[in-house]
Amino acid sequence: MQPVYIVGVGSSRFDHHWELSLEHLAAHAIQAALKDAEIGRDDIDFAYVSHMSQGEIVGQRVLKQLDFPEIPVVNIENACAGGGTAFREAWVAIGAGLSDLVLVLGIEKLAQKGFIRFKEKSFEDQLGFVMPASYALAGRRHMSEYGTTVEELAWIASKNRTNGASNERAMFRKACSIEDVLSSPTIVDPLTLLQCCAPASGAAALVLASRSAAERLGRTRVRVRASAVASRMNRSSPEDLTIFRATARAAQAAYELSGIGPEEADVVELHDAFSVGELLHYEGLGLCGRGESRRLVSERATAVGGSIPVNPSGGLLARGHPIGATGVAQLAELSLQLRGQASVNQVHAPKVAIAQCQGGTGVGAGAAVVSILSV
Amino acid sequence: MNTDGTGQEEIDPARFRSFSDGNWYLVGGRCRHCSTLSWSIAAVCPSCWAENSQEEVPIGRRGQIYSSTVVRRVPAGFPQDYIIGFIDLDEGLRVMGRIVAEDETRVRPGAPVVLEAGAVSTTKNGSSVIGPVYRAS
Repeated sequence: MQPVYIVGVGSSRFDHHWELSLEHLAAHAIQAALKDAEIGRDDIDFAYVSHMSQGEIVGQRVLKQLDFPEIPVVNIENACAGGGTAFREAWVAIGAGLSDLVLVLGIEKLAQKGFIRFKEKSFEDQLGFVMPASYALAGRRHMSEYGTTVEELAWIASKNRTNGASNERAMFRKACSIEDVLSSPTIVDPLTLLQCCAPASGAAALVLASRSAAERLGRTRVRVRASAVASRMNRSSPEDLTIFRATARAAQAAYELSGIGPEEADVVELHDAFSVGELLHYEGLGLCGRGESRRLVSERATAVGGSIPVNPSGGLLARGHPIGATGVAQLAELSLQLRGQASVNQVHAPKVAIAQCQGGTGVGAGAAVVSILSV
Repeated sequence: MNTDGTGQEEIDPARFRSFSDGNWYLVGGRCRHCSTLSWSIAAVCPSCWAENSQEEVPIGRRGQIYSSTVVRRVPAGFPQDYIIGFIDLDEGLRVMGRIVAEDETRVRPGAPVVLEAGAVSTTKNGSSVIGPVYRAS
């Protein structure tokens, strides 16, 4: 694999955006990313576009409206892990020497409120399965095996929402205490409303470059060290709910590919669709051992200023969750961190960053992507 | 869904129905060729890929709770504060199911449960949807 760099990042604000079209949201993100890289649309030679439910040929439709040249475009759906997956494909393409400057766009316009529901209706849905329940059941099992408490889960939500309060790209910009989190309405025990992410609309974009292109642009600071995708395809074997296997496997693969271990990470953006998710991802990513995530919480290790800050951008809980855009937004936030240009919650001189996103939890099939960046 | 005219509807009978012993079971599928067991009948055996090889077997009568929770923000047509969870069936499968108990302190990991037919939701026209419910006692 040839070295690959992130040379431009951009993101729309995430919100309901009832009034903005998909193309309009894409324009915000793409324009910002190209401006950041100081390139024009004619410089891009390939585009990977992640979305979950925007219909056919969404990338071509959107780029047409921005008068892009007729470059090859690949549209990618991998549920909530789509953004990370698109990034991974772009990394592979440049690493293989097939492309020089690639646009990665994540985009979603969700015309819904309440909780994210997938199209595929399962028998379990007829029994009353709801998306937060899959995380709640995992959390309850973790509580029964390791003694994890509702206060520990609530702290995670409080941390992320407070981090996001100063992020101008975030949907929710209100700091919350543990008490605020616990006193919000319970959705599924032990998850209260403020421990659940909200569906949002938005777009995020990255420009990835080969070494020669990055050197030409004078932008070799943020290097992609690895990106790995893994799957969950559980048919009937009893599954240990206290670990998200796809995330653990993607992390393992990314660490092997990069030769970088979790102990080297300085900052992490991970998939806190629910507070429980973040807790379990500490273990899945190997930021601590199995059953030890409580310790990271009690030591406040994952707060900005802690030993391994997690979701300084506010995470999904504060940013909102435009499904296909989320994984791309995480990488945009981490790139700014590594450049020392995070507008909020800049971690002190980070050298290694980890991004993790996952999708499909609860329906027995899913995907996860773990990516590693370094300066 | 079937309508039997008494304000009750059965949930998908391909997944849950009463068998000849009069008890309700989950409808398992066992492959005639490789004996792989799953909850539901697949046209192609997931394990050996034989076509139309699965025969119905009643499963899921007894099990133990692996994890459970109470849904408080409920979807339309569902009762307030219902319990769902993962059940480890005696047959070795872990399935998602509704759980009921006279005494809710009995709903905890490791608790034995027995399958019965019960109302899981209500349709728009007011009929009860009868589906699998695990009772902890």
